[in-house]
Amino acid sequence: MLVNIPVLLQASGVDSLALDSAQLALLDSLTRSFTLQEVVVTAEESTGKSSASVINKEAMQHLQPSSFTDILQTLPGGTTKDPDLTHSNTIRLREATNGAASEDYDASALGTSFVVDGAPVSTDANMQYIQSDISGADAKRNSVGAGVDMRTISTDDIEKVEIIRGIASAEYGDVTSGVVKIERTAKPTPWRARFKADGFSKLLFFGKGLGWKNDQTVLNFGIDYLNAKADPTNTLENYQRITASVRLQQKWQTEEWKLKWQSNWDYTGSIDNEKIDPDIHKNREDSYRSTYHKWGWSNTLHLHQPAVEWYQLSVQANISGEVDRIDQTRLVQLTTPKNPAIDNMQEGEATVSLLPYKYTAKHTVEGLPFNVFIRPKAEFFFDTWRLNHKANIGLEWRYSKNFGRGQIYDLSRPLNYSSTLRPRAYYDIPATNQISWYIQDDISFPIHEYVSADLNIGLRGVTMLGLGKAYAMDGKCYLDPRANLTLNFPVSKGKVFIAGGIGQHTKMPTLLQLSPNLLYMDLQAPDVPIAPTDETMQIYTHIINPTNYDLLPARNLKWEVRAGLGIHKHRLSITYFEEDMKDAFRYLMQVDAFRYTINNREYDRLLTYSTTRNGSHIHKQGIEWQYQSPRIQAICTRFTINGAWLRTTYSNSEQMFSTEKTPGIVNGGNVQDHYIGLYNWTEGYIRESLNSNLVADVYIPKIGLVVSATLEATIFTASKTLEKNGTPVSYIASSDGLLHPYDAIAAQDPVLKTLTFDYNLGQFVRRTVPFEGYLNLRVQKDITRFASIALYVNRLLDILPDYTVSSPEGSPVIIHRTASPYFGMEINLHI
Amino acid sequence: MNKKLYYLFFALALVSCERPAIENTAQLKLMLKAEGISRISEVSVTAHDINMNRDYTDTTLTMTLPLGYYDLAVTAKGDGQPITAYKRGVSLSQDCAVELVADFVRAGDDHFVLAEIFYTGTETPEGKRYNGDKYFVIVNNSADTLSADGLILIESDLNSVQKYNMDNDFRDRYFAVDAMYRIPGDGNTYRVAPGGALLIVDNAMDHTAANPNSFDLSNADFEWYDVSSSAGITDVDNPAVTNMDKLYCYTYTIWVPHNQGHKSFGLARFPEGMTSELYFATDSFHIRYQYELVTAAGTFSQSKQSYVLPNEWIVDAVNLAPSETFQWLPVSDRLDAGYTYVAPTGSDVTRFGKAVRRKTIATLNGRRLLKDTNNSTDDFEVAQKANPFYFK
Repeated sequence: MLVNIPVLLQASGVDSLALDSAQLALLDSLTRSFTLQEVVVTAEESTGKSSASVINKEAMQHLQPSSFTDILQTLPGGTTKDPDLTHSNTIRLREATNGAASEDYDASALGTSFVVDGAPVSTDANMQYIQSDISGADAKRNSVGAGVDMRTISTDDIEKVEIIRGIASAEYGDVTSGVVKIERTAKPTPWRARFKADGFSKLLFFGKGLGWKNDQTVLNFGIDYLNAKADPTNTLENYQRITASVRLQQKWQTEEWKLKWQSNWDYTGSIDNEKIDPDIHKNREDSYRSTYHKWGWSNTLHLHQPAVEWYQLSVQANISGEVDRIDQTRLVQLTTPKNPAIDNMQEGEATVSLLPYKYTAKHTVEGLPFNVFIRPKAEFFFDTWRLNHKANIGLEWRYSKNFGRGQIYDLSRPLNYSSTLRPRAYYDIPATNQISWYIQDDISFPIHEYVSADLNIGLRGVTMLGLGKAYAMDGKCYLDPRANLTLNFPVSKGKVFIAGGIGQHTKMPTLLQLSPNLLYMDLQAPDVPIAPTDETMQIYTHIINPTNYDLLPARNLKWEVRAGLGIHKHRLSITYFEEDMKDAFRYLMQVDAFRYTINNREYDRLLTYSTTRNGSHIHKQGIEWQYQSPRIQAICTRFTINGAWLRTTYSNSEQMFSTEKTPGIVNGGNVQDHYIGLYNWTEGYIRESLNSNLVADVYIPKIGLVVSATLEATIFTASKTLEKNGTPVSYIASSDGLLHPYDAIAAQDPVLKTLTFDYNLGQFVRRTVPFEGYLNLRVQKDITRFASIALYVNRLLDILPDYTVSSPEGSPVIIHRTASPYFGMEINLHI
Repeated sequence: MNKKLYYLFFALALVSCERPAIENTAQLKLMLKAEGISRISEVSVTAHDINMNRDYTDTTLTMTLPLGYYDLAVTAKGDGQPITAYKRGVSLSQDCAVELVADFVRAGDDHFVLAEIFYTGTETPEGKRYNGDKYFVIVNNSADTLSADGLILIESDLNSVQKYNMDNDFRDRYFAVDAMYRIPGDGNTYRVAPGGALLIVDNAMDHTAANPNSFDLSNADFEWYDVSSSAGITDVDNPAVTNMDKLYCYTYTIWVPHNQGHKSFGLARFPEGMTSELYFATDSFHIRYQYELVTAAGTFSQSKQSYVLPNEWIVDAVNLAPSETFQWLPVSDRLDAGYTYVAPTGSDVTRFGKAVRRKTIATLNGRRLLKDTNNSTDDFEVAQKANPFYFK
């Protein structure tokens, strides 16, 4: 709201900022009425130096969100998505909207920093997943290595969100894609209550802000409860969330000093449940429950001397701890007759017993992530020549550790009996310590009578401490230079601007990426079969440390150019951007040849396993636009158009071993045990979307009504698989463990010829899905001075023309598309 | 050599007599029509009185029989090759003409057929799946004792619920396989009498210990055993039961026949002189092809490599497809013009424990004569409760 003050002052003819308390009170009431007039129910493009979307409280109330995820639809290129609260919700900034990217490209989400009241949310110590269960209830819910699960963020205490899509200032670190800045309410407010219901969920919120001694002391608190189901008729699969927050702001003032202390205490708890109906007499023991309890305590001290105008000091410290637990129970029955219960933890030969045909597996994952963030920073204000500086330096320490016991289960009664994983305690995994520093300067200066410039220039350095000499990153400092420049051209009743920015962004690997669990390869003698009467089995266990000591941080180089205008309350901005991250984290297959001995007989084979490598390449490109009209008084309506053309290329950046199309057994021999091809190919895909939304919002203050209609048009989406060359450059053989060139002789060999994979050129054709359009409606109405109701309908109307997919052979296929509306409504009380 | 597989059309006709029958017997005259065959010899006719459960046999095509309801079966030699013909449910009440639908009869050196295919696995009382008890029953459907040595059990690579538009539709020439397991032997090791059955199982053991809803397969004739060097992938080998030779499999883990019934199965035999080494070294049996996958969401370009067997090497083939999701025949319609199933959809949860079973035309001198018109829609009983010993 404070940002509106200069505008307001201009409007009311006041030209000085020296105000007494009476004037402040007047200003407050004026601001309030002015803000009502200017109510903005859509995201606004930031007027800052980088491309960013700002979503204020009114817009959020109008959106009627269940979780933070729902807010993202207001970004350029965003489309309305119904809340999906029984899957993890991770963020994909500036990525084409069609199709979810695979986990190979999670680095994009991992590198989006959520900063709540100045405190970054760390997920580096998150290891809440069931390692051996890649397709079960857990797979869709865990967000390990994929950043923040936005389901856990409630929106009711949020005053303002700024999503920096472009080049963030050097103040923001451990980030590649963008920054989500969340500012929560820190002022006296009436009692607020909200009750929201839609087909799948219910949400309840209470909150209040108290002020004492002329708001020297402000205390805000809020509590929210959400209960969502995967299917309204199924009470056995659900998601529940409780968030509670108490925020204290205390100001002290003496003649010389002004001190502000902000202390936030936060709790988030969530429970994911999945059970089988006990009335169905099948799988009745099976259940899944994932609980998450997070406490955070964040403190900021802000100090400045009113008499000394050139500096301010602040220090922020926050600690957060989680108690996370997954409990899964499953009645396991062997699907094939004999399977070993492998509990050998040593390298070498071992005799293991066999699993019973039927047992109950209990699996617990206990994670206790603990994060510390401390940042002293100083701001300086000074002028040099004609340059006006606002400089800022800071030092940061980020500490992440997990004190949990990790995957806890009886090795001889595993959830997935073909898995050869061994548990380890998470507290044995070394903590990560990041030290970073930054220096940046916001410089404003006139260039010419008609041109002024705003320059943000900064440098950030980050070092991972205590990694150990073995790591390539050890002791290295990675520098992120970033710069944004805006040139402003004042015109009558406003300005025209052009801007551009470029910056390097670095995300350090997570604990799990740096210190993966040891891999246990349990081998058997291929020529000694297991008989129906056998009760034990002879195995050889080989231990592999999959730690990639050469792992480097993921680094995203971003640049953008922007142009826009703000004339007479018409605001327009257009941004072209590119982002290039060539070293994003992903699991890649490694191959080792290995010789082992069982009962004095020697065998050789290839072992495949995955390691975290800087093997993904994510290239983002696009144009974003936003236009906002003034509210046209006659019809009380404002028009907003925003949209984006987004093109995202996901691919590998290293040569890859692959067994994608290798046959299993040829002429009685196992091919993959002995030969695996190395391919110098691009494996990946391009996703592209073009969409634009037109929002018409009508605000009639007299009757307290806000109605917005959004015409959401996806002009097209397209996808293309990148051309792949299926001829290996070389192959590795188990006999010698060496790479051999894949030459003409190899290509003729009866077995090696199967390593050449064929691809149909038609696989690489760009496939386009044409226009889809929806009309969404949102209505808010005050029913008394204290209460309002609101409702929304997604896809009230849809325009989904049939289209034809033609194929070179055979008849074209006509695709019919359908959509169903989604409703939600809520009651808000302000007392 | 099976190169001389004859696809013969028979008309098996009752020819009416001149006057109404006044006795309790009637004369049955059979006319055997066989396209492309000039000389028929060594005729043997069996008429099975269904109600009285009594067989009448003769070596001529004219018989005098009590009035009744009969299954008729004829075996003979056509130009020296064994041929058979049958007709079920012929009512002999008076001397009148009954027109019989022509049956498709195949003759050859080999006359093994897939008699029962159990591909779904069983369900435990607790509702979990059990896979280790799948089996195939093959029956010698000829009148001669035959050697099973070298018979190859095959699963198709193509899938009956995913239609491909292929750049080179090879189905008329080849059967693309994704698994090949061969019965060992020197040519005279495993001899099977007419009507004799072989039970080929995944694991020859008593599965009822693991799953009370399963079977005791300890006494199977053969098992397919998948060698593994990973302890997490374990197949069981009963030393008392002969293993098939594993020639090829798409997966390096354990071969489990497709449990939704989307694949075709067959029996094949390498021609004389063809060895496994030579087969895999011959480029023409390893084909690479491109196709469009036709789905409701559009068509998708794909490519694939498959090992193929020439259709002449195929002894028997059975297409499987859930009745509601059938798209196309994965093998030539000359090998099998129809398909059979245990459930309307592949994921139908009632499919477990059910098999497809070849129909019995008649019981000829105590042996079952199985229907083999090369159209499994007609030849098979769908969704039968699996019984590995039905043909034993």
